[in-house]
Amino acid sequence: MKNRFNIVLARTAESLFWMGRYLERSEATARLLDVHLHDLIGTTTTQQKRWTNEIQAMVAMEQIDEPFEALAMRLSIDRDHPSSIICCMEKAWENAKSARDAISLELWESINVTYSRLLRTFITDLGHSPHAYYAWIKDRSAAARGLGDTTMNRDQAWLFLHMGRAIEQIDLTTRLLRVKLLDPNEEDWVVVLRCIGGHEAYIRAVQRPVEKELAITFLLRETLFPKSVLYLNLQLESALLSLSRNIRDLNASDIIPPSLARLIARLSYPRVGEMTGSSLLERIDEITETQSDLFNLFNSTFFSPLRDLSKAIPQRSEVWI
Amino acid sequence: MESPLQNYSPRIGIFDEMKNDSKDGIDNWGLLTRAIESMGIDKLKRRTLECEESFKARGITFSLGGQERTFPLDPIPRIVTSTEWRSVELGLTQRVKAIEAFLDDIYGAKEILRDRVIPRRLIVGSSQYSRKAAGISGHNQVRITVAGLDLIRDETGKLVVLEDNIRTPSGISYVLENRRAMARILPELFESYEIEPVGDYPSKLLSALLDQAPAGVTDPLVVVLTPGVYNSAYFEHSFLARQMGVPLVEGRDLFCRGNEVFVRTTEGDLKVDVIYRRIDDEYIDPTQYRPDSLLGVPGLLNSARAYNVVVANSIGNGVGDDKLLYTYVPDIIDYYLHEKPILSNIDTYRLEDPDAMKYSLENLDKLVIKPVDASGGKGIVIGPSASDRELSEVAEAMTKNPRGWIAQRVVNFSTIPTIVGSGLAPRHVDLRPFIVSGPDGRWVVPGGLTRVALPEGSMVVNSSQGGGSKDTWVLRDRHNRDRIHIESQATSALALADIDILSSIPNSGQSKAQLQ
Repeated sequence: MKNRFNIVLARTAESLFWMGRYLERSEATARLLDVHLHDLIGTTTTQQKRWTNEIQAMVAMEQIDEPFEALAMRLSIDRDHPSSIICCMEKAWENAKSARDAISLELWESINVTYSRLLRTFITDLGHSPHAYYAWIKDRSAAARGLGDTTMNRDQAWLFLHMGRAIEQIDLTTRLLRVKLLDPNEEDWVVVLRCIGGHEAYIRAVQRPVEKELAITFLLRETLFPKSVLYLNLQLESALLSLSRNIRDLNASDIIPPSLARLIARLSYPRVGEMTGSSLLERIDEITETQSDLFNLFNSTFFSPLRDLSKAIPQRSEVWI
Repeated sequence: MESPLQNYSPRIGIFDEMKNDSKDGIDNWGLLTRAIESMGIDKLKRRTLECEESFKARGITFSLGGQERTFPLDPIPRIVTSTEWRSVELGLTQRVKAIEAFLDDIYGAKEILRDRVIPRRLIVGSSQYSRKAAGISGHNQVRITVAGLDLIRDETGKLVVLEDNIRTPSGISYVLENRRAMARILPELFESYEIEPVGDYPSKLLSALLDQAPAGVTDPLVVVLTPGVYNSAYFEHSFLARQMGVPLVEGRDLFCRGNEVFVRTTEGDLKVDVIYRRIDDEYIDPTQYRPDSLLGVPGLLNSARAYNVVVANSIGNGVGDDKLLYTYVPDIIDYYLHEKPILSNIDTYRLEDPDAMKYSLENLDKLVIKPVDASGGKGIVIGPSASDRELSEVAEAMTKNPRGWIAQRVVNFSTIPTIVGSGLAPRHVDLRPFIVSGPDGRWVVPGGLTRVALPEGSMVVNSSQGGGSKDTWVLRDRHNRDRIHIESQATSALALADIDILSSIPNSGQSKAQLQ
C-alpha cells in the first residue's frame, strides 16, 4: 500500500516554497530598514541619498529621489507596493492558506495571527515606533520558522518550505553584497553585517575588527554562520538529497544541479585570488546562476506537471524575484 | 445577584425550547440553567470570547466581502432528547432514502413519471435536472453521500422539514469545532450531561467515500475538490481534507486523460478514484456546463460516465432538492418505500395551480416566497417583513415564471435562550442535521448545526446575514442510563421507560394539507 500521507500536490509544493520565501523576505526587509533608520541620525544628506538608492536597487524598485523615511514607510506598510513587508506577509499568508493541509496547525495559527494583527494594527501607520514594528515582524517570522521546525515532519512539505527560506536568504545576501561591492565609497562593513543580522556572529567567529575582506569571507563562506552563502547552499544540497529519498523514482543526481556542486566546492576550497577584486564579482554571479538553476529545477520538476527530467536542468535567466 | 433567566420571556405563540421542555417529565434543561445561573452571563461571555479569539487565530472563518469572519458561537446549547432524536433520525433516513431512490429512477428508468405520480414537466422544467448526468451513478447506487436537511420546529413544537439540501451541504466543520469550543466553555456540563459525540463524522465520511470507489480499485485515492481559498467555505474544505488525511485539490490540480482523472503531485501524476467535490454542477466541467468556469476539470463528466472516477455527491442531484419537488416528497416516500412520512413538510403552494397562484398573490405579505432552485437563502422574500417594492417585484417574477417559485406559510419557528447584551433573550433557531450514506447504511450525525438568527425577531439564520450558531446536544439514552441508577434517580426515568418511541413520531397525515 502506498503511503498516502506523502502525497504533496505540485501546487502545494509551490505554495510552501513561496511561503518560505515571503516569510524570509519580510524579516530581511524589516532588518534592513531597521538598521538604516537607526543609523539615520547623524548621517549626511549624501549618505542618506546613497542608502535610498541602494535599497531601491536591492528590492528592484525604480530609482526615484525621495527621503529615506518615505521609502522606509512605503516598504513597511504600503499595500500597493509589492515588495513591502505587509505585502510579503500577505503573500506568505495566502500561500499558507493554500497549503493549509500540508502545514501544522501551530504554524498556520502563527501566520494567521500575524497577518490579521498586521491588518488590524499597522494598516495606516507604524504605531509609536518603527523599530517596534520591525522587531515585531522579525519575531513573527522567527516564530513561524521555529514552529515549522519543531512541529512538522521532515517530509516534502517541510523541505520545500525550508528551501524557500534558504534560497531567499542567499538571494538577499547576494543582492546586498553586489550593491555594496559596486559602491567604491562603501566603508562601513559593520552596517553590511548588521543588515544580514550577522555582526554579533562575526565578532564571535572571527574575533578581529570588522574589515571588508573578512566581512565578505564571513558572509560567503563561514560555515559557523547559518546565513552564510556556503552554509545555506549546503542546506539546500542536503534538502535535495532528502527530497530525492522522499519521492519515488527520483535520484539525487537527477535533481542536484551541477552548478550547485561546483559552487559548494568553490566556496569551500577557494584558490588564491578567487575571492578578491573582480573575481569576487564573478563569484557573486556564480551564486546567482546557481540560484536560478535551482529555481528553474523546482518550477520544471516539482511545481509543474511535466516530469521530463531532461528538462530539469534549466536554462539561465537573469533576474528573478 | 439577579438571575439571568428571571426576566427571560419568550414571545407568545412561539415555541420556546427551554420553556416548553419537560414534556416527558424530565427536566432536561435544569442542569444547564443552573450552571448558567451559578456562572453568570459575564463569565460565560468571557469564555465564549476566548473561544472566538481562538477561532480567529485558527482561521475557523468564512470570507464575506473579502473579510475573514467568524461564525459567532452562542454558548447556550440546544438540547434534544434521545427519544425525539430517534424519531428524527428515522425521519431523516427515510427521506434521504426515498430521494435517493427518486434520483436513481429519474436518471434511469423514470418509472415515477410513467406512473404519473409526479408530472413530467416538473422534471423537464427543473433548472437542476441534467440530462448529461443520466447513466452516471456512484458505486452501490449512492448519489447522496452527504445530505444536510434543514429542519425547523413549528409553533406546536414539531420538527418539520424546511428544505432538502442534497447537493453540497456545508456547515459540518462548525458542528465539530463548536463541540470542541463548548468543552472549554462549559466543561462542567460535559460531566453531568451525557452527550452523543459528533467527532466520528470525518471517519464516517471517509469510509463512505472509499466505499464508493470504482469496482476493482483496491487502494482508492480520495480527494476533496474545493473552488479555492476565496470560497467562503474554504475552511470547511481544508478541515475535512485534513481530518480525513486526503489531499485538498483545486480544479487546476486535476486533469483528465483517456477518461481518467489525475492529480498533479511532486512525484508526477496520480490517478484519482473518488472526488468529494464542493463545487456546484454548473462549474464542475467546462466542456459540459459553463465553458467559462476555471474552477472545474475539463472532461470530468466523461470520466465519471466511464466509471473511472466517482464524483460525490453525484452530478445532477439538484433536481432532488428543487423546492417544487419538495412538495412531492411525501408522495415520493409513499411511492418508493410504501411508508408514511415521519417528518412533515411545511404547507407549500404550487404556483402552477391557478388557485394557488391567485391565493398567493393576494396574500403575499403573509407568505414566504422562494425560488425553487436556489440554496443558502438566496432570493427568498419573507412577506411580513418585505418592502412594497420587494413584494411587487416578486409578484411579477412569480407571474412570469410560476414554475420558478413556491409560496410557503410563514412558520414562526422555535426560540432558544441566547446571549444578548448582558442577559438572555429568545432567538429563532433552525437545525441542519447531516446524513452520511456509507457502507453500513445511513448515519445521522447526532444533532447537527443549530443556526440562530441574532437580531431580535429575525428569522434569517444564514451566516452571511447576521446568523450565529449553537452546539446541539443530543442526550444519550437516559432510559438505559437511568436503569442503572434507578434506585437513586426518582420517578421520571420510570415514566420514560413506558414511552413508546413511535408515539412521539409526528402525525404524518398533516403533510397532505398542501393546497393541490
